[in-house]
Amino acid sequence: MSGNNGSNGKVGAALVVGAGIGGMQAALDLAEAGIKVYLLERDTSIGGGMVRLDKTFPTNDCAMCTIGPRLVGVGRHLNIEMITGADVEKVSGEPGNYTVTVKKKNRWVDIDKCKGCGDCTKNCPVKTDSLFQQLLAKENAVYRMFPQAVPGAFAVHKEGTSPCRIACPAGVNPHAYVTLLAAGKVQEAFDVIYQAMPFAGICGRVCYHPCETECYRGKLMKEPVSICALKRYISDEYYAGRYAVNESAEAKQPPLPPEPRTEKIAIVGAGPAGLTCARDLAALGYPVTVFDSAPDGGGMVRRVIPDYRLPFELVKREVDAILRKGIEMRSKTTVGKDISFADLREQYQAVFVAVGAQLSTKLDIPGEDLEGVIPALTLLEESNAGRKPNLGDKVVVVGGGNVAMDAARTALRLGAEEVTVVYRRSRTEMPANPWEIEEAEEEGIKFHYLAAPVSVKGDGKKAVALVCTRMRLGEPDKSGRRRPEPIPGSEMEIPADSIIPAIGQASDLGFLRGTLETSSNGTIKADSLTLQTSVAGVFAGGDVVGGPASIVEAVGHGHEAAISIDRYLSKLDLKEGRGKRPEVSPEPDTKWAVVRSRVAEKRLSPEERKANFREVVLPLTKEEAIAEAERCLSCAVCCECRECEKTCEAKAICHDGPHEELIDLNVGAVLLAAGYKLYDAKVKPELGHGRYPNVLTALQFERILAPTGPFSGHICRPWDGKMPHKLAFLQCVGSRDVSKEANLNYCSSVCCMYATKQAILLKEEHPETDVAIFYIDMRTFGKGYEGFYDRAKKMGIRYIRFKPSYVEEIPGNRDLRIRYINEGGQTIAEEFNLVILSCGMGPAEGNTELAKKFGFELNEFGFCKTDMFAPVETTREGIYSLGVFNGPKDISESVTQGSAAVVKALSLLADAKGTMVRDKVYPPERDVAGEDARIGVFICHCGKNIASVVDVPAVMEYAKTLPNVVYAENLLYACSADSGERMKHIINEYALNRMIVASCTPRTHEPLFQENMKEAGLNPYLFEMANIRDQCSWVHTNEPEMATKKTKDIIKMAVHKSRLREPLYSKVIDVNHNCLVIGGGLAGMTASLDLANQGFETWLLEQSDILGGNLRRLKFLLDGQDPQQRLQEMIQKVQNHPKIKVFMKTEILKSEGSVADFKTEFRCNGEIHTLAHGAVIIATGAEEYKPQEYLYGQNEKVMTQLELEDKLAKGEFAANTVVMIQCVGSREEARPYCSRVCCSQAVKNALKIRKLKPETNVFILYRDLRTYAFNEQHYYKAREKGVRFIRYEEDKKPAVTADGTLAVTFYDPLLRADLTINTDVVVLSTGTVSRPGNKVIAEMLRVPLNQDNFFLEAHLKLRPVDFPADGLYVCGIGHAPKNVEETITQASAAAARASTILSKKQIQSEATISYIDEEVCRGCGQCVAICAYGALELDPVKKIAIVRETVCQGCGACAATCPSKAIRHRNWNPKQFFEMIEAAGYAYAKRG
Amino acid sequence: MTIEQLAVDLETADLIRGSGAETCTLCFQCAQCSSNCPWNRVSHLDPRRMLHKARLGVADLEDEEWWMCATCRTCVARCPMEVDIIGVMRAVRRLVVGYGAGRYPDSIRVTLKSIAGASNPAGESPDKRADWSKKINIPAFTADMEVLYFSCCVPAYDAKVRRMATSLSGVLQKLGISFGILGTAEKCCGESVRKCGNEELFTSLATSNIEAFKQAGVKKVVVSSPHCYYTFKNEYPDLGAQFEVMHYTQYLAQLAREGKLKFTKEIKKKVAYHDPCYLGRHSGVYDDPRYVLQSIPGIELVELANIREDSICCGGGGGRVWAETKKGERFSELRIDQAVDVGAEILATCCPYCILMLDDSLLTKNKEEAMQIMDVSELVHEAMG
Repeated sequence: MSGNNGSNGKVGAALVVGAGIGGMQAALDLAEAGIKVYLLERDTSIGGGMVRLDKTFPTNDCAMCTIGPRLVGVGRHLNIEMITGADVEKVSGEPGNYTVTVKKKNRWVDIDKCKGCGDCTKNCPVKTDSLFQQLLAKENAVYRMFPQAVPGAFAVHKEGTSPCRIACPAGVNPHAYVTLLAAGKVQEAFDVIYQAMPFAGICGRVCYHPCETECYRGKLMKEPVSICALKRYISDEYYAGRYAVNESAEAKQPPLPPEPRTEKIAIVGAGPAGLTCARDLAALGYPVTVFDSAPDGGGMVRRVIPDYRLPFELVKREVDAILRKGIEMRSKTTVGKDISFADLREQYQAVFVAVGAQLSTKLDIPGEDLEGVIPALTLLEESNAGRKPNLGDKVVVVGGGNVAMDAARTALRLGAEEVTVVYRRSRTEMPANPWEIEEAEEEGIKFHYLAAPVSVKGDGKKAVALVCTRMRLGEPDKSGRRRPEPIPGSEMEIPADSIIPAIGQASDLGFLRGTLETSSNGTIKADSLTLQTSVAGVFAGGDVVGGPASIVEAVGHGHEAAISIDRYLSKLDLKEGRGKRPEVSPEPDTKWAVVRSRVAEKRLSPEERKANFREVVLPLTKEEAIAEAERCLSCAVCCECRECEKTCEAKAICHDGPHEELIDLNVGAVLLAAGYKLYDAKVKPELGHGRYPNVLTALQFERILAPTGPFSGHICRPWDGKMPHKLAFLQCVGSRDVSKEANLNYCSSVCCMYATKQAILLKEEHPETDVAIFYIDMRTFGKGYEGFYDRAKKMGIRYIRFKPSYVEEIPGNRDLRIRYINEGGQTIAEEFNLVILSCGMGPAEGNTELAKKFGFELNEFGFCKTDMFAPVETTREGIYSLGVFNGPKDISESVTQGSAAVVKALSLLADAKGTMVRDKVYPPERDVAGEDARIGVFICHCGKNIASVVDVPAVMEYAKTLPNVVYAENLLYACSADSGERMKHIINEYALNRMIVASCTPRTHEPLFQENMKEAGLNPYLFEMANIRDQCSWVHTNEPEMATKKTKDIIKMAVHKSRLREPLYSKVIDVNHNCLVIGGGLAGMTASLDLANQGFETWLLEQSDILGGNLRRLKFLLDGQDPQQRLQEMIQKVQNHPKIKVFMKTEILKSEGSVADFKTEFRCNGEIHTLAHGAVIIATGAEEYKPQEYLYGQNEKVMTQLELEDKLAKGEFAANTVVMIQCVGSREEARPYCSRVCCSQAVKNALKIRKLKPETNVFILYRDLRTYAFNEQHYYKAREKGVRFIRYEEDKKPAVTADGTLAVTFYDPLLRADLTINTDVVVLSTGTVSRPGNKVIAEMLRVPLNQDNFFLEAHLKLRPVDFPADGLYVCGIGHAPKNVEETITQASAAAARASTILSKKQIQSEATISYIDEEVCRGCGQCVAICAYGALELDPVKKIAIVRETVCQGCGACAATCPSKAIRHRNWNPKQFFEMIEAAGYAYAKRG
Repeated sequence: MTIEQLAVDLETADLIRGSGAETCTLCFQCAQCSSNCPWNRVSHLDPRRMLHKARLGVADLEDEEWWMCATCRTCVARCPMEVDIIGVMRAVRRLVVGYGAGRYPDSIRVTLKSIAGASNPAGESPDKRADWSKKINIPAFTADMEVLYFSCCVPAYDAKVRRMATSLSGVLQKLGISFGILGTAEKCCGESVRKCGNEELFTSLATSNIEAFKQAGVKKVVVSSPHCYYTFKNEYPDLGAQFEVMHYTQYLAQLAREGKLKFTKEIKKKVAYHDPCYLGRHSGVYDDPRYVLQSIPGIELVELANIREDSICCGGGGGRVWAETKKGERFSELRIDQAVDVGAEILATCCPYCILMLDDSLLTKNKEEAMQIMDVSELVHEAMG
């Protein structure tokens, strides 16, 4: 994706990394200002942390309702391209022109095809913990984070490949069939097995199951899942016909491939390898012939494995099922005898040799030829063939493998009295499966370890005994087993009627006549990957290659040989892409896994079994099997059973393809908003999270409170579902901790508020609940936060200033005990039903790597390092950062930073603006005036979402009968691209002039359908939508008939309204690109520079005769910078900037107009100026509170912090003891808000005093020390330097006296005593108060103020620098108290917001706005008062209300207020409503 | 109720700060110390408030609260500001004891006097210090020996705990380790003396011990008491000590890992291990004693509700072993309860103070039928046959 370069080589595109609330704000502002945006997100949906919240403080607005429209806005924005599931891989280039390589994870769902109907989830057997619901609920492997997710497409959750799957040599997928079984889907499970393993029943019995060895449950907990037994259960059930829902893969003939192949293939040997290969090739359409010397297929499996392990009937069934699939079987045909190998090669284009290893290895000792010495394979074949060789009473078996066990146990069953196994090493070295040895032992077979046969002693004709020598174990040999060495002179005799050697097998390769290369141990040499032999076109596999091995390995070889042969015959590379091991799943979190022991397979008792060939191992019961299957930890989450693929009607899911891809993006700037990671409370086990079920994190509790949460907002504790009556919140978990392990010398800034919010929400719903919040300092420092805290206290929420360091669980009810010391000094032990941990914010995972890739620095805590004067800039130019990525902050501050970072990018890319964005062009609009309504109705199935409940065809027929409906049709997904084309086609074909879509919610989909209208040349306001999903199929799932009736009614109402719809048009306004900034302090100057740097003409008005505002009074800063130097630099820049005009001593006289087109008149030096401008930024500042209390003004030793700062700067300060008093003029009845900066300011000045004169005693009297975020470090430093902080209480304020000496006396709540400090100086930390002049400005510009006379933003969270009406913005301390860094951020944000208007040539006003019926309006002015946007005013001449059309947002509040019904809302007028009601009423009457 | 009137006393505050409470101003009153203090499981103590008093100089030096701290270090371990809370306690006590600025418990006064006079808290004759070893013939240390065994005053003089010294000696003898004791030349290590605020006495004891070690040519000391271990390791080097010190559980664990410690007898018992504060939280040794116990055949090691960093103190540190604690307010009783809860037949530990305190509570709680308090060395000795 190469970008269009701007005139100076800069690219008009930007990358935003992280799509949380800050990243989304940045993306929207950039795109609105003409920059193309790539929005990168790690998750599958944008939204970040805010979507997980229930409500937002301090207004308790629903977080999802607030953020939802914004998600949709980002998702639909023409110039924002979302890249989800993606991370930055590498970066190159320079500011203005970067190439960023992005690694994008496969979603496995095609975003364009998926309509989000959710049908896929219905068949998904996986249930995994939902990360979105904080592990409190389960979700499927195919999932959508939350219903409102954007993109709305589902995704598949994959975590590598399960180890069981990787372990299986045959490529069977145990994870899938175990999961399907747990979900009761036996046939589907069988099909999964059958795909890779044609011998499901056989393998379910005799496999050595390497899958179980690798199973994470076995490795991490105890006892792996009994996978093998489950496979047997599934095949048994399937073969018994109990689950044959439909024809399965095993039963049905494979569909003939489109082009059957003509190349003939010969397979030598009908064992598992040969048959598997034959099956695979037959399915590809090849004619396959299998040769075997035996009368039946199945090879050794059929001939030698005894019946008690593997019933004969089963083998026959599974072998026959394969041979039925169009494979020619030439039995009783021995290659090399009946047909030569050379002929075979000539007649067939490819050959697979899989002859197995059926020759018994000889003992190679004297007497071996005597009668009574019978090779094990011979014995087993005889027995399996139903013959009963007479073995005599005493049988000795030589060997320690599975064949030896089979021979011994078969001998027993054939009537031997005493069977002895002789093995030359000890039991631990025995190669037989341990369970085979155990079963043999149970059956009474004797084992003679460390003995090796030397000779067979005979009576001349028949064997009578085996002579052995004793062995001892020496050093380990090549196999790793200790090598047995004979003990000289230790020979002994074991009497025997029969001696059965079972020491190994070999292949009979005589038929090859040397054509193929062989190895020294008598096997064919073949490539380990392709199984190609030394001769092209000849492949070999199974035991003939690897030596005697297992069935799964042979099946694996069969598959690989088939792939090779197909490639060979298709002339493709044999090796390409093969042999790669998939990435194994990470270890699953077993902390919460249910501990349940493995189901024990039952066996016949030794007495029941040893005299017959009945199957020893008994099948599992259904309950056992399902319970066992549920033990699976689902390591890879998605098991790839592909059930979802089958159900998706949109064909959007595909499990094939690479796991990730790399994409190169060419961008001019990068904005990092990578967010944070919540502190993991498990790090502090003493607090019980992860140990006690009733200790939750606050985010978990947030989910419990949320209506979208796991309990639909029903408050309960997850452990027992009971309503908690007593709750405790523990604050500062993962914050404010300097211990080396923690390194958290900062405050997370938001936890006090969110805990208070949760407590309030709980109390509102259940006032009887007892809530205690344990805290250190209550930090409610933001705008409106202190009032929120006051409200919580009034509601009876108990704030306890004590941080418990451990939580005890009470056995039984699992309540939690917390011990603390109360205000009165008593130790209290209190019990709570739930304990909530207020976890702090830490740097996001991957920050270090991100910083490395981009080459910028992090601060000591791992957040992005920024400067106080450049709060959204990283240490690398052109890379900006914002939000919690820079440090803990709340939503509104993140949003502010989002905009602030944008303005920096806009300055950098000023010349490239508009070069990469696109505008949509629509065909000319058809004039429908005067036409009768011709309505088309489209009814959506939404996959099965609507159609499974509502009778859609019936609804369609009904719709056709409605008045003015000329067309009706059903669509599978109305929102798909092909449906859109269909609609346009129908509109034209039927000359429609109205359209209705009956589907889901207009909130997400109305704009899409309106778009279709516009593309078809119709006015979009002639579109009407009927929500039949939410209101019918969802809420009436169980009453389809009623749902269908209701659907009809809703569509009828829509039709009646649609008839009365009128085309509406927005106003197009030419944008004036100048901007007015009011206020020449830090905020106003910052905003002016940010605008002017983009090339906008900026007029900066200052009331006084000097620039700089309150910053002039700050003499030093916490980070050591000199503010005056920075201020002077800034003033220079402002005054010298060619695009900034500064006016001093100004007074604003008049302002009129609205967004894009303002006109403001002001006086400067007696002269009157008028400016036409497109936007205005208000940065009028605030003042220091002038105290009346504490002897201020009466005693010169009592001063404010700013006065102290001045003295310190001038070197005029001297004292031995200083007492500072916090909250002077703040947090009290007259000014109930917190002034936010005073705590840090006091800390700053205290540090300065100690620095200038270290022995000075400094006392700071405070109520709550509010050094939020990284300011906490300085609080720590002050204490480290010996500054003493002492708390006082609001209702017992300090008294300052000056009887001779200056003294401060106050009640110390910790000492529970009055404390006096004699001091030389008292410093008052006075609050910030608003300017009286704000009122005038507010009235003139029609913007609101709050109760404390500060400017009030449009929305506390999402529009923190906007006023309700567009084009007006606020920043600086005129908005609320804030520090230097925050002021700069907010000013930049305001400039960015203004830029979104100023960058456009034209803007369009709302079309669905109010209008006044001038005849009816009485001019009462009620509408003017109610309008939040200032869109209504009274016409001074006509004495009626008039609508400022470019300001009106169409909210409708005025129409609802108007007592004379003079205000109407376009397309929502009473006539339309009455028509709809009538339509509905008629319907009701008919039904009743 | 009248409210007490106090004034900030900068002079006292500075004195306290200068006596080892330098970090007290770091406190931001979160109260995690008060939360974790074991006193609040049985009665009441508010370290947060005490820290506050200390930094303002308004500490009432007559108040007994300053003598309640068992210096168990749970508060320090949990303090998010890493305040040396024990240092603050010690600093106030120093003012009281060292400068006579207040009263303090008689039992402690008497004990400190005994130590000053007889170099042991029992006030017994220094000549009797090696009496415990006579029956089992422990030689006097000579420079060619590998290890000096330092028994601690309590096993040396208190018949109830003597078994610690004799069983460990038995183990070392069986292992053929060349070791000896200093006998009458050694004095109390002074650890608790210092915690009680008697800095001068501590210095004199330590100096004397260091001198004795030097003269005898000691290079490696194995101790029975974690208190001796702590001060030898952390405080003696400041006074010029140069020798290696190991707690005996570390030493035995090392021998066990090297395959030198072998057992011939099974002990088929459920054993719980109590972490002594000075070995655990103060010195970070948690695994070695458990390793030794687990290497004994037959032992089933069970864990108490509070272990390792979270272990509850026996109540004997910081001079509390010499003070009187009311029945029902002894931390050791909590430990006995916890051991009963997990069904332990033996509660093993490796500190003389812990053994004294736990033994005592076993009696007062009438659990001597159900359980036994044993030193780790006793179990090792028994299993060696």
